[in-house]
Amino acid sequence: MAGIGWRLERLIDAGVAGATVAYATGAAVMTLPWVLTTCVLLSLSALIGSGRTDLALAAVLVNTAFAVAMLVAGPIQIVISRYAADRLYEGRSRAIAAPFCRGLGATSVICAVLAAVALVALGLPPRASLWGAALSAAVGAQWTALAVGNGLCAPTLVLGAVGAGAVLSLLVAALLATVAGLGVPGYAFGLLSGQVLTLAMLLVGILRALPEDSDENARLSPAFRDYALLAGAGLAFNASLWVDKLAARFLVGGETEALHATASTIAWFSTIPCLAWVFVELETTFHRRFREFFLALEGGATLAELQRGVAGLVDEARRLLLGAASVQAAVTLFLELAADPMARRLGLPVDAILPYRFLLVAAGALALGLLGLILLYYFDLRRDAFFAASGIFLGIAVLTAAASVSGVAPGAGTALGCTLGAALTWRRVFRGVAGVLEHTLLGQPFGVASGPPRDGRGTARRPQMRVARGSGNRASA
Amino acid sequence: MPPVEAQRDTAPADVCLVLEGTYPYVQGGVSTWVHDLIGSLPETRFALVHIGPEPGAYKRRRYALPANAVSLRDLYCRESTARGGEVAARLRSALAARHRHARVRGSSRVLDGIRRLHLEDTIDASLLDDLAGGDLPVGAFLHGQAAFDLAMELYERLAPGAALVDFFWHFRSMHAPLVRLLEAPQPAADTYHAVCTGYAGMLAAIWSRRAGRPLLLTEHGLYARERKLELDRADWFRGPGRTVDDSTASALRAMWIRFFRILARCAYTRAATVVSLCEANRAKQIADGAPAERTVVVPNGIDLERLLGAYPARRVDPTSTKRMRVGFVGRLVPIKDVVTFIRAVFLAQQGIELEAKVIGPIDEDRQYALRCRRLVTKLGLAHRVHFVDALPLDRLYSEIDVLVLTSFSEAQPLVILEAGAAGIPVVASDVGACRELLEGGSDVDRGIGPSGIVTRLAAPEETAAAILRLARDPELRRAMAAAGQRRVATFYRKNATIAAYRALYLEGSWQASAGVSSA
Repeated sequence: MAGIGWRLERLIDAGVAGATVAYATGAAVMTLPWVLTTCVLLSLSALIGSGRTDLALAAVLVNTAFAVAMLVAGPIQIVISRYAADRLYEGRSRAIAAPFCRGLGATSVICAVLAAVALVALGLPPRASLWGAALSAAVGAQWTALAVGNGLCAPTLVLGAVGAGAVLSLLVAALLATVAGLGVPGYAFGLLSGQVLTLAMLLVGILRALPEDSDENARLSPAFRDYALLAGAGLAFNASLWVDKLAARFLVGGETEALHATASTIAWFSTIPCLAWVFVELETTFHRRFREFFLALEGGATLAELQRGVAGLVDEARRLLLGAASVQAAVTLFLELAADPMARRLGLPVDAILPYRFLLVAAGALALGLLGLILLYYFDLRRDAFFAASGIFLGIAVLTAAASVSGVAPGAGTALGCTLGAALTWRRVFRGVAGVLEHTLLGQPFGVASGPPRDGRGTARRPQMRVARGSGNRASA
Repeated sequence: MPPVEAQRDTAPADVCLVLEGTYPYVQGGVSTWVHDLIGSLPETRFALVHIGPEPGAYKRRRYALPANAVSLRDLYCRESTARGGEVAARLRSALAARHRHARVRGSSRVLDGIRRLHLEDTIDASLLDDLAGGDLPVGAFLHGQAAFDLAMELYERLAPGAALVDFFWHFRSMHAPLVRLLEAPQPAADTYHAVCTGYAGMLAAIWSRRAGRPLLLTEHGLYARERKLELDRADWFRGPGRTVDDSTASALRAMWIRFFRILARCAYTRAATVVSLCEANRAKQIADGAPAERTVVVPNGIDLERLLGAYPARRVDPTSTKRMRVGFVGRLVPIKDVVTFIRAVFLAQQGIELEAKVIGPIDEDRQYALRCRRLVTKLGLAHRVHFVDALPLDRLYSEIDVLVLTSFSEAQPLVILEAGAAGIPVVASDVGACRELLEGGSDVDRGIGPSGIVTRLAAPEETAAAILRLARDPELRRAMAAAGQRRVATFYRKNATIAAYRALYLEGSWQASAGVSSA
């Protein structure tokens, strides 16, 4: 989103500490939801105690609350952040605050209701379900705020909000669950308090960045119609992060499924450096190139100049792919080599190593697929984004299921599905970027007001171009 | 594009009149001519097709349709302009159309035709057949890959150094109306009659070709040349937010001018008869590509008896030496160059007592009307120049002593004929048939003597000098008044005009039934 690029560049220029903040912000924005989920799940046994019966209850509560938040917030945050980017592009920042707050409210309510229904359906007592609903509402709203806040607020604020919330969550949860002996409710309250703190800090930052005289009549609902395909893409991608585990659970079950789920969770951490790098590069070098192209188009460049611009964008997409692939490859290679000693050190069974190796490849491929999806969002290739995300989802689901059924490790199918999905996504990316000129021009509506028709004979003035504008959306991995 | 249609009768018409930006929605010379033509041929059934810029551009009809106008269909160059909340819907539909047509790369005959319009000089039957191909929906033109490829080819050939985005929008603005109009259902008629070239002339030519019926083309002003005049002065190359560079503006202007010229040539080539109002315009039509053997001159005529009946209230003595009353009668639009009239009044009032009236519809181009009013105020003429929306005939010519016409382009202005019949001397710019009307077109006509003074275009000093000359020479005014009345009575009678069109329609029907056809 507009504004964050120069802040990141300023941080990077400031030296190692600044660069660390910049990349940490990238990591927080790109990976927070699932890192948080994993941390919370890992902390369960430590805080509640592995022997207690509450542990299973807490695990279901947290898993369900976070899963609902992720699935609900994924599509909504894409629409809201896109809406905010559009209004900023039009210079109508007054029209952001009210719809954003309403959207945030709606996210909370939807998350709460769905989580409560799911938890009751899973057999949890009403009180625990209410805690789960509250947690889901807070987490869903926080992730939505994060999608908008990363473009409007300073990186340090985003990082501070996330960090403070995470620390508070764990501290209060530990305090209430273990010291005060409040068990699952205490643990849930602790988690909730930290998430609410992050949400509050982000809200303050976002609302401070927007004009005080908000346009209360601005509506968000048309954006859901306009960006339905992007929302669908967000939903499909988020679902693809879970679908392999579901396939393994229903088709294999038992220890294999547990190993797959654990390995998958751990393997996902390998994408943090790559996604942090992607965030910074997207918002700085790539965004500048992207803006230059559209400014040239609107500013009256010739066809030859624009064709050079398109070639530059294709090169830039290639650079991003190669850069992200290099970072990911280095991390994956290191982790593949370190798999055996790590497993021994963590006390994991030897059987977990092979799925882990497969899932490292899967995670790397999915990170590259995510980068492709973000580029499709940038160029407003929403239909391609939808089909690409759906392709990733289906690829993972079908191939994991096929591997599970045929007796091969489910992770092998997941790795193949992720790789295939990423490859198909990038095929769309290169095709889409190469055709960005015609896509932009041919997608322009004809007969949109920008001035009176001149002479009554069809020679209307050229309306303002409606172009892709790099929303800063993140598929909420 | 659902056409708005007022249908009185479903039977095929004798004549399909194809009109653009005129009758029955705009008041003016052409509209009055059309109205009179229809009303004067009650035995002929007319189907009217009116091409407007977009729905809602015209608020109401200015004329009541005669009973023999059996239908009126409104076609539009584009959809209504989307504003506010409609913009998002238009964007959605554009994206949907983009995806629908994204993969369609195959050629289309209509696109081939458009390509030939710009890149080839040959205008023949196959070009019209291509354009009549009907294989290009508007969505495919606006959002399809094949149309984009054509736009890029034309860009490379016609405007290689231009701003692409401007070229693209002009490419759309230029051809989208044509593509839309080609999709419109065709009214059945024995003869197709276009009252100008441009989009109307092209549509009538294609309908005529499709139906195998003759095309009659009447030009009052010369559309292509009038558009060129407008384009030479147009400021609409300036896009919002930035200035279009000169080379882009020049390339786009040249493309538009050529486009209108080619549209005119298509209509000329297809037409069985090309009618102009005066020899000067006929010569220009031939120079612009009309086959000389198919061109004829049918001057406008006026109903002298009716007009003379309307004039008894005239209280003006043409030789009066009191305050001179000068009138401009016409639409308040740029092509009439009312600015020059106002400047001429400003200069003339420094030498004589003068009062001026601008009489005519003022709502066609409000921006221009505002500019004129501001000029009047700026020159301190508010007490001398009055804007009058419209006046009935009996008052119109009873309240002026001299008619002034400063247009950049005219055909054969009815107002000069009316003023002549009323015994009012005229000062007019040297356009269209003005010189012929004021000084005579033939030796016999010239023998009658001048009925007014001809000036150069956009020359307020000359116009002012002519006004002063008339004001200071009562004998000259008397002689010119008499010459005007005699000229109109001798050469410009409405019944002669009507008889000529009756014959042309009959001749067209005969040609069609005998299989005589042009391209």
